[in-house]
Amino acid sequence: MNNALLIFLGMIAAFGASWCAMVGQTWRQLAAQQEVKIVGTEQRYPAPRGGLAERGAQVYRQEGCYYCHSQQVRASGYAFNLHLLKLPEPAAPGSEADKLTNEVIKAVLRVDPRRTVAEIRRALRSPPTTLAKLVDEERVANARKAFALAGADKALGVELVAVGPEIMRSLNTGWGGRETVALDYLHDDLVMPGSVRFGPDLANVGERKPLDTWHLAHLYAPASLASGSRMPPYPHLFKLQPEGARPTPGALRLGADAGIPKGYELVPTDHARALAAYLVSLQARANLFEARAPQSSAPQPDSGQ
Amino acid sequence: MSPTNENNAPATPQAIDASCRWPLLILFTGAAGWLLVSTALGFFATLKFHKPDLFANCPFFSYGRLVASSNGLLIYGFGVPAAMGAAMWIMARLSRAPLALGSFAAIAAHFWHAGVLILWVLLGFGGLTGHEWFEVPRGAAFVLFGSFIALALPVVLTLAARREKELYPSQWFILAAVFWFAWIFATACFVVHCQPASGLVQAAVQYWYGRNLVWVFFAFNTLAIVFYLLPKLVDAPLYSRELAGFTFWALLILGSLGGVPHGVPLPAWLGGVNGATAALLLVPVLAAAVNCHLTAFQHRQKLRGDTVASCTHIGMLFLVVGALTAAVLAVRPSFAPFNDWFGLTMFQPAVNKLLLQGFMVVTFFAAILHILPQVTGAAWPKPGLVKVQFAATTIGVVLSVVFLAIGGIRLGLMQQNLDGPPFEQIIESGLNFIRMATLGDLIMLLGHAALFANLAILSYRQCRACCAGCSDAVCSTKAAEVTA
Repeated sequence: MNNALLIFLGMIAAFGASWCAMVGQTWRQLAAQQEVKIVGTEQRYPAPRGGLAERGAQVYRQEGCYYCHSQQVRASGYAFNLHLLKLPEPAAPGSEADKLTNEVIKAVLRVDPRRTVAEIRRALRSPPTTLAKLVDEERVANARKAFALAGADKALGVELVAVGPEIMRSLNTGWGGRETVALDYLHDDLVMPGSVRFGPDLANVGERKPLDTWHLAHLYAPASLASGSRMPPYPHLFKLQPEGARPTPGALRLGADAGIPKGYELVPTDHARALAAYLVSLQARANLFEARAPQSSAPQPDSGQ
Repeated sequence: MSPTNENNAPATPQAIDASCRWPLLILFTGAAGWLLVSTALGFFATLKFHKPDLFANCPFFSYGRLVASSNGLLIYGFGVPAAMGAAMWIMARLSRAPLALGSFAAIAAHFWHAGVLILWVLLGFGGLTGHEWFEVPRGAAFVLFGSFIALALPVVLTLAARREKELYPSQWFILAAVFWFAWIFATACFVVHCQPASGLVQAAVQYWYGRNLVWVFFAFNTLAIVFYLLPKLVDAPLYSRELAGFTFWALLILGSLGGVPHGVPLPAWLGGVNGATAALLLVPVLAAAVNCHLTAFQHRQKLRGDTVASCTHIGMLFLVVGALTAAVLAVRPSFAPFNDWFGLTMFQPAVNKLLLQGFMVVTFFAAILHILPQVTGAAWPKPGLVKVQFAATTIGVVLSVVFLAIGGIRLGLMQQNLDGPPFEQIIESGLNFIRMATLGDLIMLLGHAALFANLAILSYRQCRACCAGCSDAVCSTKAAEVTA
């Protein structure tokens, strides 16, 4: 390797390969994304965040929030939901149909022996019904075999869902009901997925804390709302001013432990309002084709802590 | 790019050193200063874990801005100038030609440091970019890019004017690193500052940029230093040129592909590619380590007590461990999905710290400690401080990295337990690990202060000797340089 020109050409080839694969192809793939319908509804997803929240993303960037918070719920594996779908129309009604129904009932009982025959008959009349949730590949294979034996393999619906401790845990804590995907950030000029969590994940914080007043109070005095919180307070986003004859519109009412001196009121600046609006707008929960919640019943958001 | 003048006799080492003196003094002194500032800011940032409302009223000192400034100054304040300084000298020495455009390089070095100052001020006022590896606000980006081209030009022109036909491995590595940085920096600037690409594209490019910065730019520069210094120190040839060639191409291809971890809201194949290349990266890294070991092992008596040699050893050790931990963080085999466990925990900052403040900083120390006495013709003013610098930096980094890594592993495993305590409590109960890491940062700060003190004295003496108009060697070579 004594020819500098050859080395240089090799370098260009290596760089070109890396650039085309990692930058070019990713760019092409992401640029092809567009809004989709939420599964089971006519609603489009995602909606643009709106002016105030978009400015809030800039405040999130300026304060470097992404050094402590991530915006990604990760799936570490996959599981399956099994559904009982509509039975195929038999060639001739009567005994043929009864026979098929009986065979399917047998197959369902093989999948889930705890069900009663009456229950299954009722389910067959109003498809689809969920047979089993979050089962592994082995049980899916057994169910497929049972339904194939019954001659009704089209009556078994197999749904792939992402799982993992983050998602299962999030069903209890509200971090998010499903994995975060690229589509969730389709309209954002700035995406900050974060690389370390010193604080909780924020991909879905708008769902668990939907009130901007909560976020404002939390930004001013985190420890007063979340005991033991190590989040630094951001008083420079607020104005502490003497109370006038009547309260300033938008002034915050905080508890005694927030440390506001008597005779003063706390007015959030535009930056604080924008940041709170951005945090409320962070909701990535819609059921998408590529990312479904393992459980359709989302936990109820709490309005304050 | 064949040698321009075959008849030109090789320049003497003294002439080469003299041609490098001022650019290197400016680059290295500034770098040491920024390193000290970066470590101090990083130390202040970790103090926030222990007292969250520290400096709360001063936005300049909010946690995010402190960390961003600390990262930015470490990479662009210390890393790049130190790399370019070492590259200039090694390139000139190996080409047996004086540094091309020496005075131009000295001016470019000033511009680079001015760009870093702008970067720091803008970050302090909230000009963060949202990208951890590319904390270069728009106002600083173009100054830095222009200055980098101006710093790279002398390196490339020196190679073009070489009077030694045979290329040494260090020259390949430097050539690749210099071009690579220009290309990736231009790509990052384009995506973040010029073309308003969608946020997702920016995020994807930033992961790729960080990977290339560490595994191509910094890794190549440090390997150039190690492959040059070790044979010099033991006075024996490099064990295998072919193995170095393998390291070069394999690291170039594997180091530049990947960067996006699993689970990020980006196309899933990116995480797969990253896992595969991060694991394969171990092969060229081990090849480089083996090459160094076989070069130096027979002559290890010659290296005893030499701080420069200790720096290269520890640097290579950090490189191997860093590659191993980075691979652990990137892969998720079915029997132990490491990425799911330890990704997004403190394990990530631990790996970054090991690669930047460990591997990169310590290996560049070797270059600074070896090169500056040669180009200035003066010994280090305080030899004791050199030992303090090496020992404190190493101990500090190890302490910090080990405790952050253990804290991250513990956090990751605790989170797997679905019935375990809530997230906030796990973080709270892991504060002691961060406390130990803070202690490590403090020790590291001491080491970096020792380097800066030594270098400041050396620079001051050089400047005074030059400006006093005396008739010593420093002055006459400077005068010769000016008239030339």
